[in-house]
Amino acid sequence: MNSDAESHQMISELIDHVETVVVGKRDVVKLMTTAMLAGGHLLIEDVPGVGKTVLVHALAKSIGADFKRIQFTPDLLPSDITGLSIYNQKEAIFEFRPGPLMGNIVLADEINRTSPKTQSALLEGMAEGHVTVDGVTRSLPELFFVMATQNPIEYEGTYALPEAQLDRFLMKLSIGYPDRKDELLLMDRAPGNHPLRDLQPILSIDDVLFLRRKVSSVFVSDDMKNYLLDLVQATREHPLITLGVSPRGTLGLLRAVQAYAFIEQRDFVIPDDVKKVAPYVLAHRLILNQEAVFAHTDAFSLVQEMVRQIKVPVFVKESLK
Amino acid sequence: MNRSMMIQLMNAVMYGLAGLLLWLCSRPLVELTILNSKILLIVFIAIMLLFFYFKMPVWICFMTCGLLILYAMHFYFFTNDPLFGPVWLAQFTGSIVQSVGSVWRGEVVEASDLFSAFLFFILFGMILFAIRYWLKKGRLILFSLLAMFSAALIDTFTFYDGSRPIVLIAVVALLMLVFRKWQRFMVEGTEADEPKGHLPWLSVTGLAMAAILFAALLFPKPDSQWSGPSDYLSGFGFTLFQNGSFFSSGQRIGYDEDDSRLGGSLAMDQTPLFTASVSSDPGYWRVAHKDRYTGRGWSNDTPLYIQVPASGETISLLSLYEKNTKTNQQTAILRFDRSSPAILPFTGEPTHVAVAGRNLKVELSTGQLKTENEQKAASEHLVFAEPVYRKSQLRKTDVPPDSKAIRNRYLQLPSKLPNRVRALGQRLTSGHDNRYDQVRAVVDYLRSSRFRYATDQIPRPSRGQDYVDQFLFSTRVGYCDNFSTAMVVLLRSAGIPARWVKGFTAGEYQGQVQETVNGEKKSLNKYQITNADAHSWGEVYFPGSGWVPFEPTPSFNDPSQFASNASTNRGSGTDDVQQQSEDSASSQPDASSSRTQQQEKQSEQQSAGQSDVQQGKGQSTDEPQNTSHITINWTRAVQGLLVVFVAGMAAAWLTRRRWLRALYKRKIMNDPLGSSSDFQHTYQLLLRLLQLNGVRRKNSETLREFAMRVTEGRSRNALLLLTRQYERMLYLQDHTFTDQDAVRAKRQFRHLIVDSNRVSEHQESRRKAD
Repeated sequence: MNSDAESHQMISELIDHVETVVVGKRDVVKLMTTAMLAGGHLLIEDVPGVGKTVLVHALAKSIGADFKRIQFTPDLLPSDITGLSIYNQKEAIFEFRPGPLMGNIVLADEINRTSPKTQSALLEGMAEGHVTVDGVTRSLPELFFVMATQNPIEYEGTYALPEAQLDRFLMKLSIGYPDRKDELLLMDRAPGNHPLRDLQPILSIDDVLFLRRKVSSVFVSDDMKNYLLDLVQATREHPLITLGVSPRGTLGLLRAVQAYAFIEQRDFVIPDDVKKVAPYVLAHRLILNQEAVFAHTDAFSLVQEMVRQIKVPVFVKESLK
Repeated sequence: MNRSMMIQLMNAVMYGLAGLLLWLCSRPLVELTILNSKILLIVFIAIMLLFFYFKMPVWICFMTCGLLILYAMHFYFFTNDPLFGPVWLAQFTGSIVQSVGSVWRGEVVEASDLFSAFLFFILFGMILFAIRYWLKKGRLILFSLLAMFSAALIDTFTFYDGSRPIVLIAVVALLMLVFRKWQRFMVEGTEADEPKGHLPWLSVTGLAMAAILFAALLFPKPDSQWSGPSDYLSGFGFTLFQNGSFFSSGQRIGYDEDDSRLGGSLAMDQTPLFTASVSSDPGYWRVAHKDRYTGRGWSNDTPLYIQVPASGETISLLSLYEKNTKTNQQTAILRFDRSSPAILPFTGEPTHVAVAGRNLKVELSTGQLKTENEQKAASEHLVFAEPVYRKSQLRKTDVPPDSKAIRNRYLQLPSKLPNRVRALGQRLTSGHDNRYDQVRAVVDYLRSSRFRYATDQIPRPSRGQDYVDQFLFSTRVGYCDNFSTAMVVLLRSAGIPARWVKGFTAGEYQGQVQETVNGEKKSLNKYQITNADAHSWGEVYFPGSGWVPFEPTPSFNDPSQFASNASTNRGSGTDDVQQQSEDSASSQPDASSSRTQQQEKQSEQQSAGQSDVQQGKGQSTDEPQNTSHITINWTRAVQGLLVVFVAGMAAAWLTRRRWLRALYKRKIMNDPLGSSSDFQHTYQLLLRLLQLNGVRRKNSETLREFAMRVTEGRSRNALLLLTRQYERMLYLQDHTFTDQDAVRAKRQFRHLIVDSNRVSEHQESRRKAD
């Protein structure tokens, strides 16, 4: 099976496909795809109105999978997302009615608007791949991909996500404002004719699972593993950082880098992949100390800075020759 | 005349000018070194440049150069052997091998002249090939600058007066540059395409040059503000061109048959020649005397040989002493070393000479003993009469006049001898009534502080200048040849028959040895005679006494034994002879300790702490000092090497960009790319090459980031493709590298190199424009 070329073909088609909906955000689309193929979950944080939801929607609709959307509100209860058992009077039994979390691709919109209690219900599902409702543990489908969006926490009516939960998102992206010319295109678009409406799925669940298996076989050399560890170590030793990257973060980075390399049509990882992906994978896992606040810096730029400083393995070791 | 012929002609002129320049630069060598043959150097240059001009294949040029070097070696060192004979070749190779060996062992000082000359000619050949390259490439500025620099260097550090030649060199060099420029115009047609444009151009440049030269030569110039770096350097202990035999014009101290051209510096050479075991305290070892002074040196009549009887009796053959001279019977055994020439020195008047297995003959005109076939002897047994001159006898005024034979032969002087020499001789002797005091007056004059003894930095007499006149009136510095020749010439000017004798001083005392002489065991004093002991002195004829040697050279002792009346009256015997009279003591200021100048120096060095010991033990204390002849100052040598090394490293570092770039490019282009490791190596070289352009790859920079930063356009694509290949090997550890990959990679590398050439040329031209 000519799987490599085929899978690369699939991925580029998928990315092109999503890009028809959101103009000029190819990088973001790539990173979203990276998260999906790496088997992690995605958090998109940005100000309202830049197209978070549309983007996530577009990716979700491109996959022919069960897509669920949860709009988080302050009064949302855990059972509202996991589902609940309702008494069936006809049959005289409690019948489980699955909640929106039971889908393949879940869009958790404005996740920080709900209470921590509801957020942790999501957390269990994301971490363990199953949810417990009424004392019964129910497995989530094999393809389970949560894309959450949130507003920056400084805005009113938000509950900051707990650290443990943040750690369970593989990547945190922000979208940013479109370029001037892209925004111009956006204005020219006829109202009521949103491309999202007509978007057809182009990948099946099996395709995605197949691609995930391919990603996990992307080769990472010892040099590259050491390079990753150097980076992780640097976050743990950085003077402005209170809490560095956890081993889960390390594993996540490895997956993400593999996925990104695969998206870049390679079956091995190079330092450029790490440099590209690392800030998105690591930044939200760090807790900065007070000095960082005074230094007017944030985690994302700190990771970028570290990536700029860590020595890249460039020479073939003698023993390999 | 058509254009190509014109170009050919100009090419020829260029080669001619280059040859002229090289000749001008190498001319001082003729005067400064032993390579005193102009013709040979000219022929060498001419032949090689002709070959180069006619674009002979390089191997032919090399072969010719080698043959010329061999011919030069024959010319200088083996003239007596036939040119096409294996004899000298074998000797030559043997000597070279030996010298290479001694250089290898660190005995640089003892490298022979042959070896020095050989190395010089090899260097000369290399310079010629360098000039060929420069002429081809048009790098004439470098050539001209080097030429002027070498001339300035020779002028500064030697006594060679380069003030005129350097102007000539500058003129020729400028001419060459002008011609080169003109040639460019002709060939490339860059500036003046029309032939008529050339003439004004040439005439303007030529006139400008002529005007500047004229002004430079004509107008008064201040003296140099700086005395030159050699004094300055010698303050630091750097002595240049001293004691180096090759650079000490003319000769090396030692025995040499040919004295027809004297002059130039001497180098001390401690090659042992022979040992002498003598029953007494010997005088000088005499080899030959010379009679005819030519104004430049000493020459002889055609040799006249007389066979020494088989018994070895030589009585009356040499007739050095006459009836009034008292003699003591002494014996001596001489053993010759490997490097000794075929000589048979003797002291006193030999009465019996024997060389095992050989018949002997005497050369009458020089008083020289030789073996019959003039081959070298292994040892020589000698019985000789040691003279003791009675001063009272020598001072007598009522002596018979010199015989006509003596006067004809030993009053000869060249007709061109300057009158001031004659006048000086007559003036010095005029106040004395007897011959002994007259001779002493001349000797004392020469031994006075007017003259300085030195062996190095002795100029050769110029053409037409008299050797003695130069010494007495202009240089006043010299060594034994200068002093002895001057003495003989001055005495002859005053009408006193005298002759010039050459041989060796007594040598270095080595202790007592037991030898069997004529069947009986005797205790003899053993002396080592080396090349440095070679010496010359004068002999004066005293009617009734014979030939009495005198020592005109300062710091050497008088070889003759002069006895006062009292001591001779006590009768014969060795005690008598070894005792010094007060007269002779006065004429031998430092008679007690040193024998040769060499030893004198050493005893001076030692005298501070050891003078008592030395007086007690005599000469034997010198022994341990003399085991090593010349000590190299290793710390200084190491310092010198270090300086050279540091300077070299600095130069390499300053020019590293240039040569590293060339080196990397060549390596990259020539890499066969046969395997993945080849490819990796070449890729890494490429990275280094790119970094040489001034952009360094940061450690944290990935290869792609670097590639994007340092390249653009086509070379960026090429570099990215190569980088992708390299990444596969590095990060995937996939080392498959097919021939197809190699072909592709080679193409990319070539693109990159070609583009980087363009880029660096561009950068350079921009830098020049700035």
